[in-house]
Amino acid sequence: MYKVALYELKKLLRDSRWMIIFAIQPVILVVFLGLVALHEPENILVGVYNRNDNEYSSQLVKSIKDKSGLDVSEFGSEQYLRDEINGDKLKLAVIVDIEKGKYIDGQIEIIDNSTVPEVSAKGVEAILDAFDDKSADFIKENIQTNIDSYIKNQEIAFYSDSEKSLEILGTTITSLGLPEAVTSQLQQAVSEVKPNFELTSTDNLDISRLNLVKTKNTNKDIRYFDFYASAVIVLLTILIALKLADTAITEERTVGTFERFFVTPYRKYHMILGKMIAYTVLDLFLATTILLSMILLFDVSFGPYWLVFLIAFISATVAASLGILISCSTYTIAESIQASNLVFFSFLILTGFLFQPESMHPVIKIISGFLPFTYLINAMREINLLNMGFGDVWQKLLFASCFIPIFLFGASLLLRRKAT
Amino acid sequence: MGDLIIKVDNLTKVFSAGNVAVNSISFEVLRHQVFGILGPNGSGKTTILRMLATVLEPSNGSIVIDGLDYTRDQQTIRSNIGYVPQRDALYPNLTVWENIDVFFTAYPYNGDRKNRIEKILKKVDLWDSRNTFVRRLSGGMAKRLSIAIAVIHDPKVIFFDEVTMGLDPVARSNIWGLVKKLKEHSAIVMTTHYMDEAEQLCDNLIIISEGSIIANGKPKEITQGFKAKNLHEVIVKVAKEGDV
Repeated sequence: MYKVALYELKKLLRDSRWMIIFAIQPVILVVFLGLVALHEPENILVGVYNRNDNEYSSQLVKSIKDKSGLDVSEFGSEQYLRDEINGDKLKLAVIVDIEKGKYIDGQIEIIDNSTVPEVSAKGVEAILDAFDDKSADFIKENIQTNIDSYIKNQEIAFYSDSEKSLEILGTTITSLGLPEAVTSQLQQAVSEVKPNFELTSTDNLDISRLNLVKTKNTNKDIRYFDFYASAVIVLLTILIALKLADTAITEERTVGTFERFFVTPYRKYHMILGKMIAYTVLDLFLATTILLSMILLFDVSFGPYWLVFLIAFISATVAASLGILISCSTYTIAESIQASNLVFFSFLILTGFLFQPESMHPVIKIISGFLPFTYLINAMREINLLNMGFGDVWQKLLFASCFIPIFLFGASLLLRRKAT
Repeated sequence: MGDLIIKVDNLTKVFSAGNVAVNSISFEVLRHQVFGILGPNGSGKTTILRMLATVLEPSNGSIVIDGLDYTRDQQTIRSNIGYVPQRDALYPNLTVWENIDVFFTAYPYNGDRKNRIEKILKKVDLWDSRNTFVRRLSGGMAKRLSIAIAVIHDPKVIFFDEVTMGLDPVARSNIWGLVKKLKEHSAIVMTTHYMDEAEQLCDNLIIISEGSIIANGKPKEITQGFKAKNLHEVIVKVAKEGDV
């Protein structure tokens, strides 16, 4: 088996074109993802309608218009503003309704078209809601569905996706003209809130008494990209490792060496484990390259490097064993590629990377709960974003690792050494 | 009569679509004999060879190789046979030496493995190219390497599937020389489309048409039986009858 693994590795590494593509693709993909996601949003189309046109509300509108990164237009008609946001022509619509001298009733209504997470307004709404009854009513009316889905655990988690939305929030608070102590308290809350925060309810859906609290012990200086970076590391390693191994056996069938191999006393496990060992070595390189790219190029906020590396390596190894399973169960290279594409994109959809578990069909949610990559993504996020350690995630890693022997055993069952 | 090494009884292969590729054939092969399987395209030659080489599962019938039953002792049989497939089936990014080594490792061998590889490479005239990548070999050299891999463990039976196909006359002649040398130690079962090759090399042969044996014996006996000048005419006749 050692010889099979050694020569498998030699075969791959001596293919210079293959080697170049294998070595640079993680770097290229990380660079693309980083440049797409890391850059702060700019020229966000924002529409503002000043309902009361008084000193306070004008001050707020002005501060919003002065904010860099926003492309703010003031609307003369509230209905027109609503039409524009509903027609997807604005990223954010702000309706300012502040009455002179009644700061406690000050209301700022923000409609989020929910299509652009960079300017998610939920964070803004949530904080304002917690301090005045009118906006609390607004929350009740407008985001009741959202709250219902979260409130089950008496704990509501709202996600603010970017620093931009927090900046808007900070400006808004200052403009309200609240008493200094209250403003200071709010600003303090905002400064502590990084992209992750949660609202907790103490008396079952009494929105007016929602308290804004900082979420679990989040890492410092987490940016928008950091949240996605954790999942991206896992998904990139899965993608590359899976595609690396998915034609391992079918290529041998195509070339004819498969037939020659099995006319010898070699057994199925020699071929499967030999290849697996070779791919495991390459997976070490793969995990290292992806992590180094993330750290050196984008200064991504990570937990302990060894633990991040371990999760990336396990992700790659599980994916490699899955690739071998696919390769053993298919007969041509085209079949293998199609099958692995199906598997990868299924995982992409089902692991909760694109869609939140709350929106999943109950059956899909159960399936998602059995996928190793769901656990690996969650473990990676917990390590990088929540300052958790090995003791917090080891069960997830163990669960995911158990799929390596399961996939390899499945591969040996499905590998047909003979034609029928 | 010589020492029997292969005994095939009522061997049948039916593919999943119901296509009968080999229809209840029986024959015997002796040690140190070159045994040919001839026939027109699609007659079932390669299917027979692949079943003998444990590549393909027979649907029915029995195969005994060196006293070992195919169904019970496949793993032991594999240690005693060598197989040269129609395609070279080599790893292009490994050297000549490495290609032999990766397959040789599968076999139990008590002697010095390096000496054995050296001996075989010299025998097939590839010693000087031992560090050459296979992708740089000529067709004739690749075929000789393919043979070297098949005989590295000194098998009792070697199966050749159209081994000289696509080679120039010089390369073919070299392969013929090799086959004659190998015959001293092993029985050889070969399929070929070249009738001159069969006449030159085969001690005994069978002619297959539509999965059945229609002639069995020495090349000259078969030629006389068909009242033909040579095996080429025999095959043409067989093919025409098959078309009718």
